[in-house]
Amino acid sequence: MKACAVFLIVAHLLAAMAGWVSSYDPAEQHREHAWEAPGERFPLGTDGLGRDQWSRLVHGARISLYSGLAAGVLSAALGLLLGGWAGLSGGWTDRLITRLMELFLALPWMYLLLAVRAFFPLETDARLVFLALLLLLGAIGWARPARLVRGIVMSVKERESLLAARGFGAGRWYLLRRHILPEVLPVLGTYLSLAIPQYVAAEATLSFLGLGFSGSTPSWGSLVGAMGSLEVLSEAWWMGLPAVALALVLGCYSIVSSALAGTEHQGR
Amino acid sequence: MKYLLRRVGGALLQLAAVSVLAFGLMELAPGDYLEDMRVNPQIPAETVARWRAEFGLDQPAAVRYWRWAGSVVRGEFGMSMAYGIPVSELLGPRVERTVALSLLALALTWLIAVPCGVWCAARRGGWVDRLLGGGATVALALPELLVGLLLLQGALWAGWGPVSGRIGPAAAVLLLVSFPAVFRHTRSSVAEVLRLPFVDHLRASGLSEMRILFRHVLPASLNPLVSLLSLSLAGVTSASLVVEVTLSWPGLGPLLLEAILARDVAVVLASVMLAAALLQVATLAGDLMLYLVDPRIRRGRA
Amino acid sequence: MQMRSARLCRGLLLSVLAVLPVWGQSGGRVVVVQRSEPRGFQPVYAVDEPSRAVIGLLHAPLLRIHSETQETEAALAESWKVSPDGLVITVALRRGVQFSDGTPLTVDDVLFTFAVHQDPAVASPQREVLQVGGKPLAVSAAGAGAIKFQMAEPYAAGERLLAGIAILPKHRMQAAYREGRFRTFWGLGTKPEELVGAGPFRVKTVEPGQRMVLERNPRYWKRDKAGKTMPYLDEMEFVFAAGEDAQVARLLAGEADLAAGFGGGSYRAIEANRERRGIRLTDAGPSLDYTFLLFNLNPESKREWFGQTAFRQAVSAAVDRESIARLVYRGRASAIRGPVTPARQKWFAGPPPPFGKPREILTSAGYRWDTEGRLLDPKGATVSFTLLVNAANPAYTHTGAIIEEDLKKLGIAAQVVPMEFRSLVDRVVNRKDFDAAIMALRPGDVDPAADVNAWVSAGKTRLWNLSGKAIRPWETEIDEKMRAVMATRDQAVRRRLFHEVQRILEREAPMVCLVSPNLLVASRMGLENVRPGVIGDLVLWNADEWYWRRP
Repeated sequence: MKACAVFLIVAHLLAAMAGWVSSYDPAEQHREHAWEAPGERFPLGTDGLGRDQWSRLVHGARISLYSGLAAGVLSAALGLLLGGWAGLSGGWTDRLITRLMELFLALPWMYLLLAVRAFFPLETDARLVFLALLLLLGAIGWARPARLVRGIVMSVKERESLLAARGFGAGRWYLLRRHILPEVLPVLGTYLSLAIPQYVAAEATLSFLGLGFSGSTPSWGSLVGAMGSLEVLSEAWWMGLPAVALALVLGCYSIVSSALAGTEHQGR
Repeated sequence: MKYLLRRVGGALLQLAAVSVLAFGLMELAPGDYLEDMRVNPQIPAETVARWRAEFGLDQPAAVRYWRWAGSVVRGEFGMSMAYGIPVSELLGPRVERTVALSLLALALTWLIAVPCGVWCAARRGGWVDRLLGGGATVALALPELLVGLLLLQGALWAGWGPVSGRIGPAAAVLLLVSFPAVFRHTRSSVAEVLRLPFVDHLRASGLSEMRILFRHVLPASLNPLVSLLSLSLAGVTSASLVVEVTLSWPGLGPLLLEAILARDVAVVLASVMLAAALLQVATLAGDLMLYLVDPRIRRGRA
Repeated sequence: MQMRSARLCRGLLLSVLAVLPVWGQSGGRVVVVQRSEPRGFQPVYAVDEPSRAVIGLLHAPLLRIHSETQETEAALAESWKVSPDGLVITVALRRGVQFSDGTPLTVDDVLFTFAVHQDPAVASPQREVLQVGGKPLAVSAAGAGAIKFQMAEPYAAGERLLAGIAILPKHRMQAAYREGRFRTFWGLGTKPEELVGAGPFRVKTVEPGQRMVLERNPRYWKRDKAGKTMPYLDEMEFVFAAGEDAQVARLLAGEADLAAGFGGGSYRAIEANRERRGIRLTDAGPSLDYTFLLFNLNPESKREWFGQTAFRQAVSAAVDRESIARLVYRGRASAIRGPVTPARQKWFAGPPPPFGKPREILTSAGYRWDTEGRLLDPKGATVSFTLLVNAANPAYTHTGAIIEEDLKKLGIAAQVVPMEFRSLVDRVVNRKDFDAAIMALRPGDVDPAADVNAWVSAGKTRLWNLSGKAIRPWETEIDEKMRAVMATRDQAVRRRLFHEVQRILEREAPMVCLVSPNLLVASRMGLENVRPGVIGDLVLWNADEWYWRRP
């Protein structure tokens, strides 16, 4: 757990300081060195255009990690808000929000992504577009955490302890803080540890499906996507290293976050 | 019964809302089905114009929606522009294959993940727990896309024989990607219950550990799991779309992807409606099960 | 003893047969893996490649273009002749030809076919193609077993018009046509026995999304030189894999015998496994496809630089095409400067004169560089523009990255913007709201007729300027020369004029042509006569001649 936390911190620091720790501009092409295996000059090898994989990895990590984190947190926050509201209020508010959730889970959101992409002027910085679209994915994704939160709130609400507290005239906020949040947070923590990798992976899947939006700016999704081709796997094993790094980071994420959720319980 | 009727009525209303919103979303995205033909030098401009009129793409959105709604009433769910046949005819066999795959994967997942979760919750920190927990963590980090591709390549190098277009490998990939969520939720909610005093009472009364775990603790921790079930059905179904594309399982996935990219409106709308209907059924089932399982809610509603 | 000698004799005979490609051995099945499934069996409306590939095997035209000689040859026609004034083509039908259900193919079927294509209510994509000088081809019976095609004015590629039209069975399609159900007729769910054609194969079974099996049409008219019935194969099966990797994986896994249409990267991956998997790889050289960097030269364009020939030439000179061919296509593409690729044999004008140095071209046009090496236009503004690429195709995003870097060395900031394909086309074709884009086009034939749409003002795919007007002198020049190319039947004159047009396009560079991807095919060892060609279906065009060589 500690090792994981340290690893995560190091990874985030590396990503944050991508400009300093990378040896080359991630877009720079060393065309005579295309598909070069890891060595002194290129620690993680080069891709098909002779771009330094290490530089692309740290730059890609920066944009993907922070955008994925932002999207995950946004969806969890929206989910907590709406799911909690639905569960607490009950009645028609609950019904409305539940219906909305189901709507949101079913709609073809890819079109919204396309529309929003078309809305940005072409000159917009690719990284900004990336962040915006991933945040949009996060905002769309509120329905899943909301369902979880609502389910828990509904069940907690009917517990004797809560009924008793209400009988004593406890306020809404008191109930929320003392009885509901402690139940909801661990579940939300587990959700978040599932959600962040999902948002990072969502971009990889989108780019695999031909809807990618990262372009020549490296992102973790596009790096992992590039290894998915037969050609690369058969003769450029080092292109798989970003996927390994991604798996490590995301794995540590879930370990740390589930550990955090656990300690919170014991502290109670 | 009245409750059920009201739910069904609400569900139908909601489906209508889904179709309107989905249609609106598709309107937002730039380009239409015929865009492809516009950059094909072998197809004259007049043909594109005439096909536009024939498909009604030159009509305002409201008119097109109305026409589509009319064809839903006739049971056709619109016309696929790419295939030139009613969507209902097109989707039938593919939906069957997607449902078969999803149900198989879901059943496998729950049959394997729930016992594992219970076991690990009881033996927290043991080597099984650490192994499965670590495994779940790794599996979690891998998007279904990557798992599918890796399986495809692995099979190629190991010479396992054909993988694509078969239900087994596709279900295995789905199992791998949906296992962690179910496993973790089971483990954490069982662990919650294990902390409650009644477990100690049961232990004190000398019941076997197995009996305590599966007869008493598991039922008590079912509530969050049941709400997870309907979610996990939706999750498996949507993951199956990607897996179908990567492993060439001829279900809804490849067709839907093609239709989304091609702006084949009627096919996308019908698939979306189908997904929404599936979700409705899953939610309804979930709520009913919740009602049966959790006595507190039953008492609260009665 | 006797048996052994009999076997020996047969072995000898077989090995003799094997060296003679015209005498195939009958029997066997070939499994072709395609990247998407056919959408239906309607020959009139199918415009997508997978559908056309299968439909091409089920039906036959009067004449067809031989993919290797690139000239027309008789198919359902026994012979044809063009009148001296070039206005009338008379076609004599082959005698005794039957559709796959045994019904004789007659002049009536031919008349029906052309009536269908020319009927405005049918909205056939061929309707405008079958017009010469704005008037439809007049089709009539000319005595027993002959058909007359009358054109309103001389048209150079006259008989090539007939090559794309599959002759339809009137007895099967007439009712649907009369009742206005033609669009939905012969969809994917149609029963195989109802799908009737005069091609080498007929449909046996269809499993939507999974596979499609064709069997040999026993009534196909063609015989080989030994008088043996064709096609040699008993069955052709099509299976579908989403994406190039899945396609190649299925080939390598032994689930398919033939794949085509993949890129240079997959070629290498197959190459590495070739021997172990018993696969034969063919690189048939450049195709008709050309990729290009498109400048927005529409009146709506916001970029003044693009309007300057010198600027476009400098960009064209700065782009490292060899790097694109080597890195993006793994050497399986040919660098090109103009839209006509070497695959078009006599129509290709040959390599153009070498470029000037990009910096010199820009300097002489009044451009300068600032202290940081950025390019400044004559008015002193820095030069930057966006470059749209299709996000779904890694070849294009990589090509974009190479161009971005090449132009950076010249002080130009080109920003690659990946975009989903239909959004991109919407911007380029409908809204004309873009700076530059990487696109690709595929002419349908080697004859200049195939380029008219993409090069002249009235053409709908003259992507650089879709205003319908010639704004620049060189656009007018192209219009006039192409009109002349299409109006004369003197092939030498056509060639000269067409070569001149190519030189104009290379010099003016409204499309900076980049590479032509090579035509790559992988087939299982022992499958003979697979000879990829650039016209029609790239590999299936001679499927009736394929056969398995038995050991």
